[in-house]
Amino acid sequence: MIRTTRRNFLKGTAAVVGGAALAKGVFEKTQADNKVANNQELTFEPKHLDYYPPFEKWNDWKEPAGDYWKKEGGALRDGVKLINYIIVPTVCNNCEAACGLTAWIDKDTMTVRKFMGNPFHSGSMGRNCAKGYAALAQMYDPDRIPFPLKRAPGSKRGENKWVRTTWEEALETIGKKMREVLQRGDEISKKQIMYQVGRPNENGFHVRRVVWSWGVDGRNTHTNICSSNGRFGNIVTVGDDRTSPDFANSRLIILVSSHAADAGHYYQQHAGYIADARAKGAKLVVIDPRMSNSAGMADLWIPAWPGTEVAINLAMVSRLVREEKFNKKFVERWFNWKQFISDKEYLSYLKEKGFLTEIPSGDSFDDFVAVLKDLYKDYTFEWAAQEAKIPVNMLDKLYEMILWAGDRITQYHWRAVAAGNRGGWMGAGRTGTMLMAFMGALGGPGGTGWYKWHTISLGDKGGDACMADTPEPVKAWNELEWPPEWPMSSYELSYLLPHLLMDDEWRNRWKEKGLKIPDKVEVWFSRIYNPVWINPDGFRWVEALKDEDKFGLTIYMSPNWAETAFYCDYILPMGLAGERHDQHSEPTKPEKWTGFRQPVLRVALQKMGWKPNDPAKATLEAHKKVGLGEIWEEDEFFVNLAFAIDPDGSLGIKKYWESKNNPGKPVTMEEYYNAAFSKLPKLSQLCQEMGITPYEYMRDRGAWTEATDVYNVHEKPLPYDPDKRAYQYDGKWIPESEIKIEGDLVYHIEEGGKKHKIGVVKDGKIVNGWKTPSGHIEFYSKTLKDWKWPEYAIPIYPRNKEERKQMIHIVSQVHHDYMTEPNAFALNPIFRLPYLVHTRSVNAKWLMEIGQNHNPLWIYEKDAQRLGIKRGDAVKVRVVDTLTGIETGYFVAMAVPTQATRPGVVACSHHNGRWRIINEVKIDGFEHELGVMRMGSVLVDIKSQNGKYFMRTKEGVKPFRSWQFPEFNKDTEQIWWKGTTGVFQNAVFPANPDPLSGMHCWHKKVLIEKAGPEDKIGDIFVDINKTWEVYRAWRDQLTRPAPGPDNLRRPKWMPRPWFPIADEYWKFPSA
Amino acid sequence: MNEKIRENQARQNMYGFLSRLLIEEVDYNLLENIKNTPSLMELFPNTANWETFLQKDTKSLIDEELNVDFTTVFLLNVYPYESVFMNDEGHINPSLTNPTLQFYLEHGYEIDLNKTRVLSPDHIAVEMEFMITLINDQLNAYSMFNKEEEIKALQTQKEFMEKHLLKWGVIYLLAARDMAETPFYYDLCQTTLEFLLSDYEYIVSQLQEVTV
Repeated sequence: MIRTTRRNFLKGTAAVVGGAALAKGVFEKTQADNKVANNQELTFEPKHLDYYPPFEKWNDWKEPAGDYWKKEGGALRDGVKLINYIIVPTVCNNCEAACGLTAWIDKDTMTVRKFMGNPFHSGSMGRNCAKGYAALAQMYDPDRIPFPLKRAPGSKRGENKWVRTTWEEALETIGKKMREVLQRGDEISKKQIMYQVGRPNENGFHVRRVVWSWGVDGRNTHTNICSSNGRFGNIVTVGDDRTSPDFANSRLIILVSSHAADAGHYYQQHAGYIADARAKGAKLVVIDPRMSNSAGMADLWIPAWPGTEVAINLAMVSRLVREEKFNKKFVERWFNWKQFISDKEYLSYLKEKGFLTEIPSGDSFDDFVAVLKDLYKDYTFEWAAQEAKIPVNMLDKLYEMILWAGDRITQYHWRAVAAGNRGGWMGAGRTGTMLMAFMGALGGPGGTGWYKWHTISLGDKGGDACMADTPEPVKAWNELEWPPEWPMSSYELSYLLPHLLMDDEWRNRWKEKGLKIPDKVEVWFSRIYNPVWINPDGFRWVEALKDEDKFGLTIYMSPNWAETAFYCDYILPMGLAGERHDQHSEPTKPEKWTGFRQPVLRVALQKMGWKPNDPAKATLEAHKKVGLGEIWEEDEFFVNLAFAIDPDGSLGIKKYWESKNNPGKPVTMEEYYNAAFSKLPKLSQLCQEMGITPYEYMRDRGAWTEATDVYNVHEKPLPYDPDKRAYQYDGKWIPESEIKIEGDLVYHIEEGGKKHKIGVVKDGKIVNGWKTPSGHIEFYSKTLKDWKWPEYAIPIYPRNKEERKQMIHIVSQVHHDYMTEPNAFALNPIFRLPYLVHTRSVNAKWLMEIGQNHNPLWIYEKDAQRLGIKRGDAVKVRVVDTLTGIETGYFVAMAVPTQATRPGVVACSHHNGRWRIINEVKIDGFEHELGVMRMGSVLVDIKSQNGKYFMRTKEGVKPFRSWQFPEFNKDTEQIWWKGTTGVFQNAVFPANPDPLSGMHCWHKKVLIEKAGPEDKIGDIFVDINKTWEVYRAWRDQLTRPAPGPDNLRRPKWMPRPWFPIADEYWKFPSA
Repeated sequence: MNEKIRENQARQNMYGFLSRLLIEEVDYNLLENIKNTPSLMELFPNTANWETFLQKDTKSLIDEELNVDFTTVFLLNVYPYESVFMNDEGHINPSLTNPTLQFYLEHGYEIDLNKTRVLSPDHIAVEMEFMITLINDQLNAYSMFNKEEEIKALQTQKEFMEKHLLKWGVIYLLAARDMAETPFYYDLCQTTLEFLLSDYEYIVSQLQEVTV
């Protein structure tokens, strides 16, 4: 039929020159290329918002001053003053999204005039949120701590008598104390130095290498107050702990109490990708009892009762299975259904429990599908609607959307569903991920990928620049971080540190079983971590920190004051986003990108020819030179501290921080990070072509994208080299002779016969598979069965009240079963406010201004009406534990009746309510008083007696004149957001550790009543004897302690994070 | 200009020319241009021998013959929308759930139908216009020596052809051709049909060349 050939056609159409112009031009690119502008010398009025000067001009860029325009009434009247900028990139530190920033430094004054986005950063694409731009307000904070402080000799912790000290003195004192501890060399000593960190915002430097090089098991994180339940379900299911959704290409986005703009991880980056997807027609579903910003814009808002999200997930799976509309190909290929269906003993167990009516005789996939139908038959939409207390038609709509979206479904379930509820891991990572897995929506475009696929961790990889590279595995297992009651906890039980230290009975119980648990932490570092304020049971922390028999030397490392700082020995002022080095990468999209946070003033000075006297203290010297204060950075501090701990190298620590280029001297940041960034093959290759070093590339551009379109990593074959006859795994070549295949699992047999799984066989090839013991997505977790939790080894949930009593470990502590009084409510305290991030934002006047409010208690209109509560009323919120029935205390909040929270559920964000016990600190010999969090906290009076604490606000925020950075802070005299800054709730909450993951379960049952005449908004009362009883009840009644199989402290395949622990310490001591 | 650029620009021109004729009634200037350009008339072999075409003045030809046929074929009988052909119900689907629209959006393009009189983004002429934008991406990548992007742009063209334009366009054009009462629209359908088939071959051959 073809009349002409292709070439003839094209010849013929030569006559149609201009034919393309006849088209209607209906198409437009949805995403403009975000590129640095070309060939523009000076731009007064950028034509688009993402305008950036041409890169080659970044070292010398002139632009008119904004205030000049205002003063002089427009351009060119008397000529325009141009600011002579040098533009230095860095990375924001105000949340974990790690967006790119550029610091615009005025070369005449050596001050940063503004922070903007970084167009080279492929994650944030030149965009920032309010917190990013507010980095400037934090830098020139009037209450910035200008030099290191030390508790005044003779004073007690909490008295707040401080003297000025030097960095040299601090290094010497801390180094000496650590040396004394480490020289003891026994097992206990390796548990008595602890570095406890909040959100570190970096990939590896402190996280791994620093503490590891000390040889102690002393890295303690904040994870268990943040995300352990979010992680645990995913670890059990796929072996990775955090989803990395491809929002931008998704068709259905399900945010389960985790919102791009309120509560999720990656704020404006995720929000941008979600907006991109919605512009392409994607549907947005929000499951949350509270109407968040995201819920307000969603196609479907499902206000499920807290902790019942699991019922919705299982109901969806049930119907998909019943109607056989799930992705059979994916499920058959990647679920560990063979392991499940062949474990007849376990199937019998399920039958005994009444979840299964029949055990199949065969082991086929069809048998598995038949079991699924049987297992999930009772999870109907009607049942789920009743459990979640929602209309059933919402579930019909959700189901339709799921079918429509197919394998392009993304889900984020990081916040309240996980962190709020006991058993939240089952509702989040376990059944949430399973739902996506049933649709085949794991790994592909528009689906949900994984943290480890999309993150670059190089911060600990600078070893090539040092005399010694990788430290040995640590020879200790610190029970103060990994208590035996929670053998599978996802990360350390950090918020329990004072509870564990102060509990002699607990320690003795385990000592009798051969464990060596210290009764004191000799040296304690706290970095970007404010446990007194952010942790539950904060006054327990105050009591422990004040006790010098429990905490030896305590060091608070922070750019700004915080509640915990009042109770420490040293306050060391560390750098902010533009004042420190860090490699920082996050899984915000299916790419591998990294940013480079750096001290921008130092870099600018160096580019302009300045040289430090001591290259290993260059950041400190630079900050002093430009008048920022004696502000240092953690990286250089820790390198120098290693030399202070181990001056002669006898402890074996110094070598990890001694420069290979200059033996005997500390490694410099340039050397260290060049070695680290050289580990990126594509970056190294490009730098070779460009004739620059990887450090220089990152210093100048601040960001790099090593890989794009990172999808379906589980399907990727292990690279094979026929010449070497070896497979590549984790960067190393493994000879074929050391590889053993058992069933479909592929192992590396190491020297001594130790075997390590490296992949699975699919279609005759060795592919990555999943990081679980089976190499597959574990519908059935044999680990949970073996570690004493057989009833939760599959995605499951109790079907009725009787089962909820038996399966209490996965039933929320605020389940509606517990709401028996007419004024009982579930309290959600953990939604974020998008302009505040935990401890980090109190030092930004701009964020305080836009964030000022009285942090109200949201209560459903009709509930309020029923209780006679009106807008603005003070209400007493009494906290009651549902396991023990114990009431621990109360707080007084201001009520705001609203339709934006569901009936029976109240909400009050714990991101507000900062407090101070002094307004200013007087330092002998220093002319000014140091202000203490004056823009975002209230002055309080704390009274205590026999463990009963009462706190009342004495004074709110008020205007003041700043002596520090006066040019930048003229407006502090115009502060208008007076009064309270919200109510401090956390201290009233007892520690409620999830029995499996160890997560502190934040939601609380509360009884609400109108406050009495003697109560004032902001009051809190707590009895820490009662919080203690509650904690012990959760620990003793709900957990199933180690050891597990083979006398292990923890399943071996769930590696301890951060650094390796020597094999022998994984086991319980023999009886 | 090298041959590759020339040929791909010719493809764009061809898509532009044919989509223009399929999207709206022909206008005076365009028809005059066709009439007076022998190489263009080669694309309309039956029309060249159609007496009415040769005898009537251009305006009357449009008003009395071609517009009537355009209405009969494209507006009344054989709806030129993918959703009509691919859905069981035979309805036009102009909503966000339209898979063709999804394809545009998911490949970074949005569409402004106000610039045309079509009812849905899956009109055959709009789909052909989409090919022009994809070829543009390909040429941009080629001129920047970005082989990876060039391959991606070619693969997208192939995928779009396979999943959309070719999948239903062939059946549609055959049906429309048989419904046409004038040789002009008969030829237009036939030529478009042949062009699409040959262009698919060309995309495949370019992909082979560039991936070698």
